[in-house]
Amino acid sequence: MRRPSRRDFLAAGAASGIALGMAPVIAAEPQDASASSPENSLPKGEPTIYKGTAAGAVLAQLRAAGVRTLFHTNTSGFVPFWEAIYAAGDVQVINMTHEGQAVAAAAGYTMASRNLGFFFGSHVGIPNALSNTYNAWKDRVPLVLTFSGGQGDGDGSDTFESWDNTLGPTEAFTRWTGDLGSQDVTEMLRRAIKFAFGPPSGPVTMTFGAGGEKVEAPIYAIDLATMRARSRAPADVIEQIARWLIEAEHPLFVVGSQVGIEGAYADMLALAEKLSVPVAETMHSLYANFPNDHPLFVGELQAQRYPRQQDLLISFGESFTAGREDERGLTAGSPRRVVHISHDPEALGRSFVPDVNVLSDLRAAIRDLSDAVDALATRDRISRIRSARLAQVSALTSSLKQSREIALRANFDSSPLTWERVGFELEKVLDQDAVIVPELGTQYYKIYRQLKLGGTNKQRIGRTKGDALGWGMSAAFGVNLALPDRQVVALQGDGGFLFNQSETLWSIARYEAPMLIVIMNNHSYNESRARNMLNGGTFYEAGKDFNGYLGDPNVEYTRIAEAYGLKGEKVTRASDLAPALQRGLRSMRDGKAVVLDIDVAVDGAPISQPTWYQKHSIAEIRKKRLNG
Amino acid sequence: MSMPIAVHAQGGDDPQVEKGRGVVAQVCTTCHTTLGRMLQVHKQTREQWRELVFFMISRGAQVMPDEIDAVTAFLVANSGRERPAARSPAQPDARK
Repeated sequence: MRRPSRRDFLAAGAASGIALGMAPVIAAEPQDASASSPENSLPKGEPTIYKGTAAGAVLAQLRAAGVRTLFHTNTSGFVPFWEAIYAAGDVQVINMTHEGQAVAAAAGYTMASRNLGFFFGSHVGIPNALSNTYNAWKDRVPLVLTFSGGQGDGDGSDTFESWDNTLGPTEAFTRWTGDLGSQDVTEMLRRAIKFAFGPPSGPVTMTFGAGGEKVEAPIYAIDLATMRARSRAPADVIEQIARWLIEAEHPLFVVGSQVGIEGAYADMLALAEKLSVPVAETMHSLYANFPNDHPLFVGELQAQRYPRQQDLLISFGESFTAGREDERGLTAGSPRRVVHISHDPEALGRSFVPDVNVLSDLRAAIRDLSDAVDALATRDRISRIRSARLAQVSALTSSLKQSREIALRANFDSSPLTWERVGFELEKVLDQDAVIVPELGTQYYKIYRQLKLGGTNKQRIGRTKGDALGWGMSAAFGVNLALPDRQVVALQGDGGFLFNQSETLWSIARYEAPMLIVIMNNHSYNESRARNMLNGGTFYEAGKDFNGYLGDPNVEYTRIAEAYGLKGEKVTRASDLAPALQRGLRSMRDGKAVVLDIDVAVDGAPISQPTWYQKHSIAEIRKKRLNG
Repeated sequence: MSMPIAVHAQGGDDPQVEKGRGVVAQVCTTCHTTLGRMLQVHKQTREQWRELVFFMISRGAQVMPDEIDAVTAFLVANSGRERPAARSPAQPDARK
């Protein structure tokens, strides 16, 4: 289908009355909701009718939406659903050993596939599921999470395994909560999927009471790729932004997660290159939304040195919800004008007040803006702007690359290894289309900048913007489920791994996910230690850290891997990393996951007693001699 | 709005320290708004400060190759001059 031109769109908008008078150009208010053009919020055509059990209707509706992978944690109470799954024959259930891990796996699967993550498990597991439901909510991942029982069952009775308002604990982290019972079962599920895809998108939680009752239920044809309601900016707003962009001497683009969600990487790159606009990302960017080896990529927004005085900052789909890091980034360059483009109306005007809010799909806005620039400036003018600015930005990014190389080489052969060296070696051996799923502290950047990420390079999914630890292993497993033909690497801190993540190795082993799991082992929670010690204080002076040191007991992560039947290898010297990675890749090629436990340096300002901790021995304080 | 952070150089007329002062003011204080206090409490050797500069470059600080020595010189000249007097201000929860 031909993409309507900006002129077509303007004409159509004028005819419908939608575009005219919308979103005053210099206005801090979001566009009126009527500017959006929802598509597929209702299914098209007549639904087919399913006859069978209510649980079977749930499965039939999921299959009609293209969902063939379901995530589950052990419970009773789903026999009719299992029978339907068995009868269907084309649905894979992925068993996880903890509800929270299952939710993270579903989220990783959805982030990599853009399919729907569907979970079913026990309502008693709702508290277990919460931390990763929160992460998925922060990451705006469309999930439908269902829990056994019916909404309101036993309210007020405080009976076995029950509490009032079963889904209540999830409500802070969900787009919607509902009941998947036998009444209107497929209509409820269709509605849940619609809410999950938004915008804003995110988890939906439901009680799953549908069982063996006989129903006749409509099955709706659902195309998940078009489930999210779409919007497009008024043409006059786009035109004004294009004028600002052409006239700006020091513009800056901030590229955010929605570019990744829409897969609009190529469009983003083309627009940046058209006028050689430098591109930054926020500290907590969810995806690699722009190639980080590109001469226009200038790194983190809050670290910006060029352009120091921005006359135009345009955010493409960043939420700016990270707090003061984002605030510093937005204010450091004292931008004269700020434009925020987002497909999520709830993100606009939320964390800061821009000059213009634009509610639009990112891909549409980027293309419309590109078309508008072409319409407003001659090719010669565009070319002159591009050439002059490319020279300036390239000089900066080239110098920064040299500095990073100096920093890399400064301790290249050190043991414990530097984070830079680990990134360097990974870049040498991984496929260009490998996927990195990190769960690291802010030292992640030392690895990221040694890897080529974004665009046609390796993909990065995470770290979750929620930052609740205990996400990375299962999310990476979910990514591998979605992308079996890609190398998937979980980059995990030792502290993060200890947040209930070793159990994910069970699913990794059960489903033969040939992942590489890299544990960056500095035997400490170094991120929090560095922050706690940053400004000195009593504990810093004493050189003691109450909660940072993890080296006693010194966990043998390789033996944890071996306990699940996986390969594990310890790397303590820099020279051993490359051969260990080669062995790991061979194992992955042959279908088996590998855990690499790499001793890495504790960096940041040192403390005098880094291995100190507050000792306490229950064995020693016993006053009674026990039998045995 | 961004808050200007004063970075007062010690080191007399040393041109390297002075150059470092300018770079630190532009590059470091955007994130490290308590830089003055950090310099007071952290008493490190020249080599450790240099390592820290490398650490921050890898971490994303936009220090150019010809500025590394100057930034190091500034940090050496201005660090560890006072004993810390108060508890550090609250930091956001950050784990690894």
